[in-house]
Order: sequence, then structure tokens, then C-alpha cells
Amino acid sequence: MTTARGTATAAQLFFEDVAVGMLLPTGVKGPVRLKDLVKWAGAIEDYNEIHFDADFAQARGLPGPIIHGPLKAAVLAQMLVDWIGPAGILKKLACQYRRMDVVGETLTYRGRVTKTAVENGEYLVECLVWVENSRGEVTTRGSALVALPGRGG
Amino acid sequence: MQESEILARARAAVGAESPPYAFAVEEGALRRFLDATGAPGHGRAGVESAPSEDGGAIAPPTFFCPDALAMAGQTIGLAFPTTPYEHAIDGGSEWELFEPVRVGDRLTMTAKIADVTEKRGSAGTGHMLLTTIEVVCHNQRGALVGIVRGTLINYEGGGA
Repeated sequence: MTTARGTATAAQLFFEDVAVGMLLPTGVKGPVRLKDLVKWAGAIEDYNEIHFDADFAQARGLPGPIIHGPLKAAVLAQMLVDWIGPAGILKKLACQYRRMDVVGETLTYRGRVTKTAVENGEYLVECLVWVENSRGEVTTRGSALVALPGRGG
Repeated sequence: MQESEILARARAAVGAESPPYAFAVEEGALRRFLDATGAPGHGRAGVESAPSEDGGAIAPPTFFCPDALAMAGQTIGLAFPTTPYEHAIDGGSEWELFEPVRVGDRLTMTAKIADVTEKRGSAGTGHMLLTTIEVVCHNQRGALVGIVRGTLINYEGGGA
């Protein structure tokens, strides 16, 4: 199960386990199929043909149907909640869709810890998160803020 | 139309807010979302095997509003500022999360035009109008679930 508080079956991450510069576990998705985009379109009821109709996309100057930015954001959120464990909390996520990814692409989801702090009794960790295409180009970038439990409780 | 006039007309829409839009969080919708994101261990088995202590299975963080622009424009019906620019693209979204969303929850959303700004892009994009859409979500207990902000970029296109 995935929750905003972390995957129930994942190991628990504690604040003391985290250090600035630490890399998050990497996720790889792909090659992204047209079927995957159709599934996402149906799941969120976004039926813009640019995401699943090749002729429609190409008529607009694109090489093919483009992968939804919000799908990439959802997978980044998944990566984060899996990392933080069931007692961790995802508080904020921001994503900028900088470049288009086209169906058939293989995407790599990455993150890195940029700051740790204790504020108002909360153990907070800030991360840089991003998505790379198969050529290593960053197509989506963003940031996240999570709260973790401390080992002292 | 001059760029300043385009911005002025668009800025007149700032603050415009939709009526509330309510919907129930259904197990089937959650299952489709989990399947679409393709995470291992999720999907049907994830939904059925993992009710939370306080109610139904808990949804992933962006489930309640995965796309602020689509939610506001297509689902809730908020009218976006019009522009003479031919091209439009989703610039990204930000989620602030306060309460988990569970199957069985009844969520109420409102959307509004939060801001409009302009930028001069590269030769390939030309003049750009950036519209920030804000979607606010509460659950049936009146608790704030989340705030999602999306940026719509309208732009002139190449040669501008």
C-alpha cells in the first residue's frame, strides 16, 4: 500500500539515517508504452489526444504522443513515499515539466537530499528530485519536503 | 493586441473562483491510478489488502488532484484567461499535503485563478503568459487535505 505516509511494506527511514548529499533509491520506468499513457489518461480522465494519438501529436509538430507531466510527478511521489517508509510523511512536492518525453522513452527517477532540519518538533528533509530520459537529459525537475520519525521517538 | 493589453485582460481574471465540486473517493478509481503509475506491489492487491486503521485504503499523494490544470479546467469547469497565443503547455504543479485521502472519503474542491504573469521566452517560444491555477481540497470532516497549484503557459511560438 502506498500512503502519503509511506509504503506499509517498506523499511522505515529515520531522520538520523539521512544526510545532505544522500541519493534516493533510483527508479526506472520504461520503455513507456502507449498503453501506459492510455491507462493514465483513463485514471485521471485527461483525454487530450496529444498523449495517445500519434497522428494528432505529429500534426502538432511532435515526434509522437507525449508522456503526461503529472504521470511523472505521480511516479516521483511514489518514489518518495516508498523511500520514507510508513511513518514518514510527504508534505510538499513541486515539479516543473521542462522538456517533453515521448512514448517509447525510458525514464529514470532520481533524488538527492539537500537539507535536513528540526523545526517546531518536526524532523524535516528537503530533496531535489528529477527525471532523466534515456540520453541523460533532465526533463522534469522539482523538490520535495518530507517529515521523518526520529529514532528517539 | 499589445502584450500589455493581453496581460491586463488576463489579470482581470485573477481571483475568479469556481463553485465547490464534490466527489467520492472510489476503490476502482484508486485501483486504476495505482495501476497507471505501475509501482510494484500496488494496483488491485494493494487496494484490497491494505485498508487503513481509520477507514479505507489510503491513496497516493497526488491522487486527489494529479493535474491541477485538468482538474480546474475540465473537471471543475473554471474558465481560464483567454489569450491570442496559439500554443499552450503545462508548466508544472506544486502539492502541499495536509491529510491523507482514503477510499470512502468525500472530497470538495474549489479552483481559482491565483496569478497571471508574463515572460519573454526564447526565440522558439516568444512572449509567454503564465497563469497559476490553485485547487483547494477539503474532506468530509472539513479538514484541509491539500492545496495544488498548476502553471499554464500560453506562448506565441516560433518566429515571434
